[in-house]
Amino acid sequence: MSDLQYVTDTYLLMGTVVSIQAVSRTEADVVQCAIARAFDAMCFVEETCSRFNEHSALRELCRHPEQSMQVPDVLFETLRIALEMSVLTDGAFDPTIGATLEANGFNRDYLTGNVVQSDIASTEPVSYRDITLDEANHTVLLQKPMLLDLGAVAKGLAVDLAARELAECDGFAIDAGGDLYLHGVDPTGDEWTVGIQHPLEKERMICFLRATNVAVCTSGSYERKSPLKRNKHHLIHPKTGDSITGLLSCTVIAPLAILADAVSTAAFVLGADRALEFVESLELPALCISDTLDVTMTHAMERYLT
Amino acid sequence: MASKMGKRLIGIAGVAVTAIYTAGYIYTMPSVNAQTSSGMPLSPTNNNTTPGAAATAHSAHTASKSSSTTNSTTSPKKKPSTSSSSTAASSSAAKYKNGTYTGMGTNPYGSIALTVTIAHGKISAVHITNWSMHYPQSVVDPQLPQEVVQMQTYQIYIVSGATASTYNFAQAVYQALQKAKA
Repeated sequence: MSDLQYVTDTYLLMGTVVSIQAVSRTEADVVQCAIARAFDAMCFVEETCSRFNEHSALRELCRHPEQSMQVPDVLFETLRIALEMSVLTDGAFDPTIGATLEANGFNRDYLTGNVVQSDIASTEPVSYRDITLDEANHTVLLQKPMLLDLGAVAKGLAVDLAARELAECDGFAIDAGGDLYLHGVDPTGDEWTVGIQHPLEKERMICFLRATNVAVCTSGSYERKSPLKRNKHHLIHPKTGDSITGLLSCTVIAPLAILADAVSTAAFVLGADRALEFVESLELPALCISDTLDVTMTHAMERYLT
Repeated sequence: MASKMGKRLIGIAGVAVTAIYTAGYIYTMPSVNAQTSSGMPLSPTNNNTTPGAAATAHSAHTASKSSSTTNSTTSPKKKPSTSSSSTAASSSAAKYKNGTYTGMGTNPYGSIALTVTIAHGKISAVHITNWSMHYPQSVVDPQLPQEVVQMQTYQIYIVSGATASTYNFAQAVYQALQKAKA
């Protein structure tokens, strides 16, 4: 394992810090090309699915409610997963929450700081039931005016596509602001060791997992606070409009980041009482940290703990 | 029943990721039409029509040659919207000159350096070129000896947590964008 090359690179993407670490026996050139392709893939997802980019396919779709719209595959598939999660959680997870997020001040472009105003006339209450996917024609119909937010799914998808591009490496770790995909070996030739961030003290870990060939995603309330309203963070219950309390974070391990991301978000929104039960029902490992800093986990998570 | 749900979800997600990967990263900018008409509603029978002509091709799966030789300089060839679609941009958007601009930022824990690449007047990439944040030892809590032991046993390369904010980078991005406006 002594001749493993280690290449790492970091960009700001999708509103967060995205790093790729790659470990390979092949030439650094090849690895760097793979990393470049991986970032391309993530840029592509951001460009199509972002709520903050007025040119995105998502925003274009939202400008045309009550019309059957053809959308790129990437948006269609992302919506499909989002709707699956909505049904599964009976609306605790809901991609129609964009306008609510915007109203709570989650409306700034992360690079320019400019306010992004979607001007969606959405006074009517909306839910995931107001979205219709036409599988045969790959069209989407929004039955009411609404602003979609695919933040909880699109980032995971971006990570999964990036992982495909890096498949030739002996090992890699993609970190999209805490949403991870781990593959193969770390730079020392071991399985990857993942620190689970302490929700209250930055740079401190609350526990460690050892894992590889899986995605690990954490949904938490501690990084993004509403600039407008006290006690509001970015994980808002679609039905009540309130931020969720009881949990500080929920970490889920899954074969794909799009699942880990969606399931951890949904579990967090379901709240302290139902989070673990929900993830366990999907046969995925989960670890929750309560607002009293109690760590609880599913049985399946235990074997990942170091 | 429960496990069925999980397996089904995993299946759907796997198929979705493969479908997108196979299709390649071609994004057809629909807003090209939005500026001329009020959009392009499609009748269900008209499913072959793809709105917008300004196809934005990403370098899909063909190897994009990286110019870099050593560590940590790859550049995603993110090709933003074509010139025709950028005319649909709202007037409030700042106009940037094409090129690559550097920005620096500091906080009590260290400094960062980044480059912002502008293509077609829009931000196409923000690359972190140097990131040295040295958190004081006191931040790493000494109360949990178990943790310290683990830290010494394993290399921690990666951390999962709530989506990190880009706050630490705001100053540096702002600086680079100011240069791009000049």
